[in-house]
Amino acid sequence: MEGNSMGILSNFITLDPANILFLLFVGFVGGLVSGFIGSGGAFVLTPGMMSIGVPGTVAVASNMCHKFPKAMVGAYKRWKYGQVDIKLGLVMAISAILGVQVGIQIQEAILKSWGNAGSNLYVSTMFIIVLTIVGTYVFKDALNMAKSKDAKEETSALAKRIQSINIPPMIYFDKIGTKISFWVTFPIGFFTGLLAATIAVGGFIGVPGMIYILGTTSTVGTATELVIAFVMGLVGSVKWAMSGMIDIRLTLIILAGSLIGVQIGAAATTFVRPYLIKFVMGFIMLMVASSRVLAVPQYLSELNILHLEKQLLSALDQTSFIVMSLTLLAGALIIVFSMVRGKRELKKASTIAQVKVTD
Amino acid sequence: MKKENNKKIIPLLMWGALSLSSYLMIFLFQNEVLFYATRGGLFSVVPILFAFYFSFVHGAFASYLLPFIGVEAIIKKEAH
Repeated sequence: MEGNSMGILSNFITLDPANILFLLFVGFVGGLVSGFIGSGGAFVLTPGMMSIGVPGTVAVASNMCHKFPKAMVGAYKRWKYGQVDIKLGLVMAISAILGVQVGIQIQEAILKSWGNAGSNLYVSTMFIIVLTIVGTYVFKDALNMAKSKDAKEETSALAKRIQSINIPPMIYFDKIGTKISFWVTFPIGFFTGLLAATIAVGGFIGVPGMIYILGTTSTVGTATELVIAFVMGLVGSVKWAMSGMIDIRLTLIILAGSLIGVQIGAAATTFVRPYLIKFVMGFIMLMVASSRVLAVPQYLSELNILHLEKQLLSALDQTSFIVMSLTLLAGALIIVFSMVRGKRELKKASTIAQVKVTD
Repeated sequence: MKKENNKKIIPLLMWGALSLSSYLMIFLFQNEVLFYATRGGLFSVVPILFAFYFSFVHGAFASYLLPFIGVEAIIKKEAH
């Protein structure tokens, strides 16, 4: 067995106590952010794993496997808070499964042709493109909401136009309060799945898609995304497991931290105003994108496309890691601080009933 | 409140012990676990079952732990 396993294990890193502690911390913050913004646990975790030497494909596969049970827990909690549109979640999930299948085929083809460096470059480039576009939009929106006096969420003009499209089959969504064409929800679901199989984070398309195109509130969008993440995460994980890409040790370490983080994050959403959720989401997206930009020269050098001095590459790599770590820490502090402040305000008012997370 | 906490400390400790011992087993036999979890085919259920098992056991532990350390949510029913 040793002979066989050595061949398989060559794709997987050796774990030392420092790696384990780092992964536990990243898992906790990933869970915290994920419970809070409804997606994005894995966008913290994929680069986190890659920064300690896990190949891109294994990082994406192991993340997806940890994500679906965590999403299941998160979805259940948010459903109890009355924030989930189950029908919307299931309709989107079915289209997302198709996207996941296509995404995994692309990943496998890249890995076969260009190896781990090609796969790392592909995953990082997709991160940078998606995070920069979506992050900028979400961040701007959060700033506008924070500036406006009543700070209430309004349905976007685009969503209002989309809601008026009438191409059958039309589906009524409870939490949006109107009928929407399947042909609008299908592409959002499909690309959510495609992105999930590419960078292990489908929520970056799913959540803004539901908020800005379908017209859900950010609370409902982030909560419903967890249903999609569960369904497509389960299907995607089975597919990754078939090709033996899941490092179950990494999956389980991350799960240990994130299952605690996700419940704290989900509880924190009930204490804050919606613009803060968007602010944290936009901030983390843009910072993680910058961290990935710094990691790209290393992959280009491994592919012999770019030739830089080893010292410079190592400095860039370290800076990328530091930017990532500081971003995670800042995101975690904002969430925990908001919750503590919310609880304090609530105690002062002492008029709103509280229920325990486990009830 | 104190009585309530005392009542919940037993399941908290039980789930915590089960979770910790399960993690120890995985890492003591990590080569064997990885070998079977990465074989593909019918063995694909191995990582999926592990993920479900650990999220159940460790999730139960987390569910007892959080209210115990004062992490609670307020109910906010979402209007559209």
